[in-house]
Amino acid sequence: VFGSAENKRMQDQEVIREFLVESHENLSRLDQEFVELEKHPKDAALLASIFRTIHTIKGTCGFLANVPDWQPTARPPWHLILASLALLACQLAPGQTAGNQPDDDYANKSIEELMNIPVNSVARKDQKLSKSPAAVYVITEEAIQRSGATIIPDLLRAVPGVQVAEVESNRWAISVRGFNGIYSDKLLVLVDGRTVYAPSFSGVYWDQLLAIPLDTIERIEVVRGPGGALWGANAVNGVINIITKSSKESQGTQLVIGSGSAQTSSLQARYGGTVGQWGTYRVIGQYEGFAERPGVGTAGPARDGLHFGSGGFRLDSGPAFSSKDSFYAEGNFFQADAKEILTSGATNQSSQQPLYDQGFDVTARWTHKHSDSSESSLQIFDNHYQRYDFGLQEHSNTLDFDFQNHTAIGSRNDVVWGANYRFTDSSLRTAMDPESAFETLGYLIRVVPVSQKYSLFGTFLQDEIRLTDNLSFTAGAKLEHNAFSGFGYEPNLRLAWSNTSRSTFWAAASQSLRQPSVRETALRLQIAPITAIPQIAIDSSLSGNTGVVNERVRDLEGGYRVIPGDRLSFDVTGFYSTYRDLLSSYLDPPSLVPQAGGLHLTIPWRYANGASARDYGTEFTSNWNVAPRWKLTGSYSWARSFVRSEGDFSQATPGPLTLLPPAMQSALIQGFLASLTGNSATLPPQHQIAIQSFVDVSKRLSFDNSLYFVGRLNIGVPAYTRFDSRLSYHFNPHLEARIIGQNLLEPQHIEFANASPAAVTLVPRSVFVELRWTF
Amino acid sequence: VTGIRICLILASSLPFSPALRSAGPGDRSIEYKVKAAYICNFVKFVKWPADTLSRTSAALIICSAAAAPLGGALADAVKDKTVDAHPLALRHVASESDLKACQVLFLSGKDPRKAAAELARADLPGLLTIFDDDVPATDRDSPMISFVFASDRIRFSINQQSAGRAGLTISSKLLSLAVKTEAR
Repeated sequence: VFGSAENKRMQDQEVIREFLVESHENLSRLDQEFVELEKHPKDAALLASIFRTIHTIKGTCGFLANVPDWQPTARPPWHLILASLALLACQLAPGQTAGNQPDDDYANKSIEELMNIPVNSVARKDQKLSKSPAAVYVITEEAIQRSGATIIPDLLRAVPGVQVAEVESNRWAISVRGFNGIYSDKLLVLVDGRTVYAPSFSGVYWDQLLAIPLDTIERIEVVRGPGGALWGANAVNGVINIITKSSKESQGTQLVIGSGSAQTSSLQARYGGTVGQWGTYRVIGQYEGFAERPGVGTAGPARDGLHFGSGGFRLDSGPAFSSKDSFYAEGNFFQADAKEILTSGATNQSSQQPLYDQGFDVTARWTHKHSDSSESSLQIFDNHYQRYDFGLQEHSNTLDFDFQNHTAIGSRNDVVWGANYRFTDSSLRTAMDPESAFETLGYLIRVVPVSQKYSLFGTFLQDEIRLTDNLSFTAGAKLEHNAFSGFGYEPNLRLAWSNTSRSTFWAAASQSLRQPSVRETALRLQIAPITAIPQIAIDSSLSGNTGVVNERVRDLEGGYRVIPGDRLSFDVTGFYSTYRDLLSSYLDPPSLVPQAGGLHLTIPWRYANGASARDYGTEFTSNWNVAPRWKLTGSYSWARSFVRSEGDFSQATPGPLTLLPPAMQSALIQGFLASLTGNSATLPPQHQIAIQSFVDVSKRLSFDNSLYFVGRLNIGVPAYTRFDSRLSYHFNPHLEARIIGQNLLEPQHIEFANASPAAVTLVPRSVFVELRWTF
Repeated sequence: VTGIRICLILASSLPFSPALRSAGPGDRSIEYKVKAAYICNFVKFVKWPADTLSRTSAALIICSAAAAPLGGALADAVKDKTVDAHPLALRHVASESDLKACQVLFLSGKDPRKAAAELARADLPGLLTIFDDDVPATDRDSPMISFVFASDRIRFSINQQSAGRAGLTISSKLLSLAVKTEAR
């Protein structure tokens, strides 16, 4: 009995399927006939044919009334809708050969079908960028997914002119065109227009950016060279602009679970939905765990394992909100927990300390379109974090307002102008006891607590003028005022000449500034070795200097971009930069004065604008779509950098210091103090190469490889080659497995040095497996 | 019936279509093919004045300032196509005087600038103007159809007024699919 019922059901299903095919054909015919009728409204034969077709559909509908599964009046015709959608999808999938159509037979598609074919928007943005008169590199969504990186710092390895070094599993040193350090202060990092910046140290804590899962990033634009005219202070050497996807692009649910040898665990849950007609939203929660690594020059692990948890949301208005206005808001909170081992060369002691970082940020932006040629936007963000690192507790709260207007004036001028205001409340003190000192590594350290509230405001104007059809000239400048060094002026001039639509020559001259940080202006740190030498009291101090001025770079750049064919593109850039008034810590002449019971040795360090530098180099990028399923990208950077420091006594050990044991001499000069100065003298490697290959083995399997070569660093890091590989398999549209191998060529290597007192750890060979479920 | 089954299976694997995946930065071939197909579709929904396309078997000529517009995709698309018994043809034009034989003018931002600027100003009766989305605003002398790029899809907008001036009638079906229709 059961068998026959099942049989009946199968037959009914068959009937329904046939009905769907037939109805679909009839509806297509009706479509055509109606168009004809519009052209020839008096064609009686045509009208009769339309009637016949409708009649046929009605007739077969009646026939279906006998099928028990089919109750068109009782519920929506899901079968019909689903099957129609499947059919539509079938015709849209260009790679599929449904109905024996050739692979990409777009020519025979209807307008409705054409309207639904997705077109790579990145290609278009590239096209636009290919004309921009600046050294721009875009990490596309494809590269983000396929480079084998699981964190943002590793993505940046592919960009020419960008130095990425993993210091510990929770600490990175990243910069553009040199001056790398754990506090790289000449780089501006933005997330959706929000500045990611630690005001106390003028650097970026890259662990905080783990709160942005790679899946939610639409693209990363890296602009090398000064960007101060548009972005303001700290865009000295480059701008890294991370742009996340609209929540409209991440609807539905996604669960990701992963585990590996270096990244031990990764859990991620995402949900995207709609807010009625108003717009869309997404929420994300994640946990990432990183294993501790072997320290350089130590036997045991560096205890640098990181536990990171975060949550976030993004809200975007849709077209129904308003035709002229759009709105978006996003927010993240995070907590990072790790440990660190601080070591001192002088006392040969090490101590284990907690390292934590927690905070939140909220950004909202409103954009109004005045007309087709004018648009304004207002953005507000608030960023708060507190971090405990190196025994210091840092609080920071930043509130920022930014207004911009973009207007095309006439047919030749494209004007962007804006104004911004930022309020920062920042404090730095020892964690345990704000008033007094703490002991570590055999030193007694006393930090005079710093708490500062200050404002930054600026305004900018840029005009892009189309001189002729092929030649455009851009002039812009930003005027900015900060609490430490007053007014600063950042102009730039750019020229672009496109002799054809496929090639562009450009040249630029610009000046950018870096404003001093709290550390350089207000910090006062006293360090005294506990293991005192009898009769000598040592008083070593590092003092901020309120008299410091902005660091300044002047830069000349030029480049050429060409797209010889749809499958190939080249981009080459050359630059020459001169840096003045670079901030560094300097040792004033030490003094040795007699005092009751012995001698008093004073070792006074202070910040001053004493260094200058000269950099030049070239960067080359190429994209090549070798075959429809194989894509290659490659980049090469060559750079030379010369730093000159004046009035620095640390080169020749001054007289009174020779009284100390040699180890202590070097420690006092280069050790703990130097670490807090930011180590900005790390020059770029002379040669740097990145090659990435993305292959679609089949429609389910892709195999991607990335090779990075980084030349020797002047801080004693040998050249290394890193090879990452990634295999992805789609079991079905909902389930994907990824296997990622990183640093496969060698068991481990070192990428940085000179991060004292933080340990430097070895970057190990590692494997990571991930399952992603989307529904 | 098996067709549907295949379709369902294939539809389920839609996200992995290699043709889509392989379209990396710089590769705009899909975009070009889609636009070419659009152009061949548009002409089905336009009624020309009786004198411009009188003979039933006369060719419907699409003109462009580029030798191979849309990277050659338009040439592929018009091949062996007929609309209302008019075979579609593609012709390369350099100046306004060449336009007399054309029923459609397609201009792209990649066309030679000088020729495109001159052609864009052409205002001939019975000439349907279709502009690519990258045509500079200075050249945009109210095209009848413009490609528009919205949420990773290629759409189009229609200016019914300028079509009317040229004596062309655009079908309501096409108007209903346009992004915004400036009618008056």
